[in-house]
Amino acid sequence: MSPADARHRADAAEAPDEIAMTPRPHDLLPLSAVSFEILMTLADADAHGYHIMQDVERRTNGGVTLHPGTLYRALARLLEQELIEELDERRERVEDERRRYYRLTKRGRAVAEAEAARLEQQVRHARARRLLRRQER
Amino acid sequence: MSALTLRVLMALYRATLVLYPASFRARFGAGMVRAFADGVGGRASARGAIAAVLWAMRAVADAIGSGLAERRLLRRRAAIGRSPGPRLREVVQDLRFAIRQIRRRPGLAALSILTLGVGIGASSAVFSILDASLLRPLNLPEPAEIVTILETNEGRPSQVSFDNWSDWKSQATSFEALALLRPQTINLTGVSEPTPVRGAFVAGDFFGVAGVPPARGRPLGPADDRTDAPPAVVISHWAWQRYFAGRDDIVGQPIHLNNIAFTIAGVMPAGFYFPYDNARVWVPARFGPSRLARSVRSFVAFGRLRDGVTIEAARVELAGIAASLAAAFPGTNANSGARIDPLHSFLTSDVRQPLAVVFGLALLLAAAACANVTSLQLGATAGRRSEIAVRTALGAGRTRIARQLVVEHLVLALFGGALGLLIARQLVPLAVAYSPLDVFGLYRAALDMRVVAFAAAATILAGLVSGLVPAVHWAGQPAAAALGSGARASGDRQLTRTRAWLVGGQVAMAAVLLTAGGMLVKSYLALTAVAPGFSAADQLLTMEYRLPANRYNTAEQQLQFHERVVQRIAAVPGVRGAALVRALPFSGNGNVVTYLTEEAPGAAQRQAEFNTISDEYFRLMRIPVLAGRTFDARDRADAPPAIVVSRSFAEQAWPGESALGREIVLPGLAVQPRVIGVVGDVRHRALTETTSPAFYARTAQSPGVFMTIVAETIGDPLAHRDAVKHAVWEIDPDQPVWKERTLASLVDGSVQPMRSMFGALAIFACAALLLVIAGMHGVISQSVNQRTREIGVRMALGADRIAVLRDVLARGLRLTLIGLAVGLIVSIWLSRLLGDMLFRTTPLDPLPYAATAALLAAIATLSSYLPARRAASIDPAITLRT
Repeated sequence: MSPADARHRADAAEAPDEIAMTPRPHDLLPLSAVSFEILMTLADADAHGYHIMQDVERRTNGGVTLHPGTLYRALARLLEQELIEELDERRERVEDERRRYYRLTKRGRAVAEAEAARLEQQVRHARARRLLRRQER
Repeated sequence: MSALTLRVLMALYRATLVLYPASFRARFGAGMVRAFADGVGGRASARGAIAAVLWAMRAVADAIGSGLAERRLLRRRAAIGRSPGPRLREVVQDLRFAIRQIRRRPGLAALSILTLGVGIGASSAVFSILDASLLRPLNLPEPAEIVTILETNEGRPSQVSFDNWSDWKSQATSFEALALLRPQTINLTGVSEPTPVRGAFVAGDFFGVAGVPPARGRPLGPADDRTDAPPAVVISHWAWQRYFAGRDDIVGQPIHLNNIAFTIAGVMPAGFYFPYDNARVWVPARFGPSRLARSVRSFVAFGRLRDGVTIEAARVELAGIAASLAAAFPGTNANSGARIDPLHSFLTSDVRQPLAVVFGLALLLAAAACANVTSLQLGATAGRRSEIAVRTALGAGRTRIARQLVVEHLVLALFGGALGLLIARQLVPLAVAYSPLDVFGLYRAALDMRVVAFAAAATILAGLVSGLVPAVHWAGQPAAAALGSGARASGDRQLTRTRAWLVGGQVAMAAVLLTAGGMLVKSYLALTAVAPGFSAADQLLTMEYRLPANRYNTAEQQLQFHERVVQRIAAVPGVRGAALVRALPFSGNGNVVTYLTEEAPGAAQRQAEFNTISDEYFRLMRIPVLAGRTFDARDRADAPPAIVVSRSFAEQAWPGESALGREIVLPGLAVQPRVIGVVGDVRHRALTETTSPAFYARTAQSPGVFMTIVAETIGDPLAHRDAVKHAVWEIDPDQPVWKERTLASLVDGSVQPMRSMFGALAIFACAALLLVIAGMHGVISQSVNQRTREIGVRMALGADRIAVLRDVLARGLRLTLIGLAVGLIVSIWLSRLLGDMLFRTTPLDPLPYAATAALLAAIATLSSYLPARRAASIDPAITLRT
């Protein structure tokens, strides 16, 4: 039996359900690369699916190409974890009638910040060990 | 990009959405399609149509992958939601882990599965035969109430006479129904061509004893035994279909049997088997060949016990009646009693012991297979020491680890059991085809639910046993020990010790199998070395015929036919000589009669085989004439009756005196026959016979309707069978002739049961030997690996290679000797069970034991030789540096 098993079992046996169901922000770390990219896009403004795809691609200079399948699976997980929410009201523009917009929740922002801090710390350590050159400007 | 291309791409993408769970599709499907359309459009305008199509293809692939992933996730969540508690989830984890472990070592798993499969397959196949013959009740109503009744003569069982049976029937109250049976081939005529069919002459309430009514018409009953009753028969379903094409108005139809016109009274249902499985037609006994007299014992009696009457009560009652009959008829019943056995045990009495022995040995093989797999897996777990140590350190309890190991072995055993069933499915028809014919109930042997249940039980047992040994081993290991190297060495040594015990056990089991096999081989060789007293060389063709008694009803007519048969056949090209004999040795026919050496009150009654022969018989059979002469033309029908006796007859009747010229007394015969010659003894019923008193009369003085032709041929006897049959048909074209076979094949058939046993055991013993080789090699290799360093040190300190070689070999030999000692002791203890199956071999015969010991010691030495040589070639310099 793995340690993760042991903890899971203890949780199930002793902890009330709702606590077990909504883990604290730090428990969700590290985020997957795709999830973090989505959260970063939504940190600027609400966006629909295609918009997120475009934004990620542009931001990473084509380094990360999101396809709809992967994107919507990630969106589904983020919705479950209540890091983002779906907007009910439609935008005024007619052509947008079938688009769903997604917005970062407070909890989502907290998780994104925690992840950014974690990454920053990693980068700092990487620099200290000369794995990354300081950018000279 | 054209609109058509876009439409095709959209349709393709929409189609892939089917892969997603419905809930996901409902919620996100539209958004995905929209994003896909936008993506294709965006790519097309920015980088052109080709880039757009490539992107679309990657998006489709991506959608397929994520759709399947999403579906898997949903299923996993559903499974967790469904599980009633953590226990089941753990078991599922154990199962998954077990399958991973098995897949990680496919070679080891395949070997284990194969070994278990062979063990389980062999024992399941034997079980299916054992079950069909011995365990399953007879397919008749209330089968436990049906008994077989035989007469006894000085305690030895003999057949039953009609008059004695009639007296039992009128006096005994223990039985609801009583019947007599004499199975015999009957000539069916009037249906296209004359055909011999298996028939049974019955008397009393035969079908009442069976408890099965006919499917059509009425059964035969006591009323049919009265001499004034119209001749009626009951036929089997098979005969109805075969000879009457299943016609509807079958009841009341005429049928000609042995040239008598009968009316068909009834048809038995398909699958009616009582008591043997091959009767096609049942005929009242008064139409049969036996005289219905007190002195002629040629029937077997059957009875159905009244409700609440025990077999013991019936025995007591019948013993009383037999005693009063013995007093009333001293001439025929002086030493007679009666003996009652349950029908099932009567039918299986010959096969009970051999089947039980073969089954026991098959179980032993399965146990050896299980020990081998345990040892194999235990050896493999040595490599999993660190995995188990880590899991222990992380808090997995000992029981959890033990359970994991047991689950792993159960999964292995499950595959092994499935393979075993496949093997059994191949073996059962083979066993049915090659088994000696007289295993009762063989026709019922099949791979049914009972066999599957047996295999399942064997599988679970094998899994539990082979899993518990490593489980106990690991549970006994201190957690920290696994990580420290010092403790590890001691743990490894303990592991090797456990494996050594297992190998010792395998040696013991192989020893039991081999000694049992050795005893049977010795018996078989002794049996085939027995001279039957006649020439069993493959040159004699035999066949039987029975004259219809109503057409040949005088002795003159019968004799005339027999003499013409001999003349005609002797004239057939390729036939060197022809003779007749009533009961050919090993044909199953025979006629034991009671005689006295003098006509005086209280004279000793003795029994001997009585046979009728034509003049050439002794010469063709190469039976030596020891004194006096054999029959010739002087012994005419109207001459004084003459007999020729066998050597043991002469010794039995007139010990120490000449038999020539002596008379014997046969009850009921007016003129007493005189001995004119003495011939060599002939084994009549089996090679195992110890004494064969027999006397012969000449056909001319004792004709009869039944005869066996013996023809000596040039070349292959069976090549002449049509010519010989046609010679008979030249005399009477309506006379059926059957059972065309060679005398050699009859003798050979009599050792067939032992050969089958021998074959089964040889296969088991070879398998057990292979297991010993594998097991021994495995455990000695492991011990050499563990001791590499130690051996290196010893060699650095001056030990020579021979000493190391001897040391490793001695280790293997020690294991063998311990296993051998245990195995031989168990064999001696078990050998009593072989008792009746042995011939000229005693259970304590030293030869099989010595041969087993020598063979196993040699095998063990050979299988530890390779690892020993590796040990001896260890380079101390290299070993000590590492």
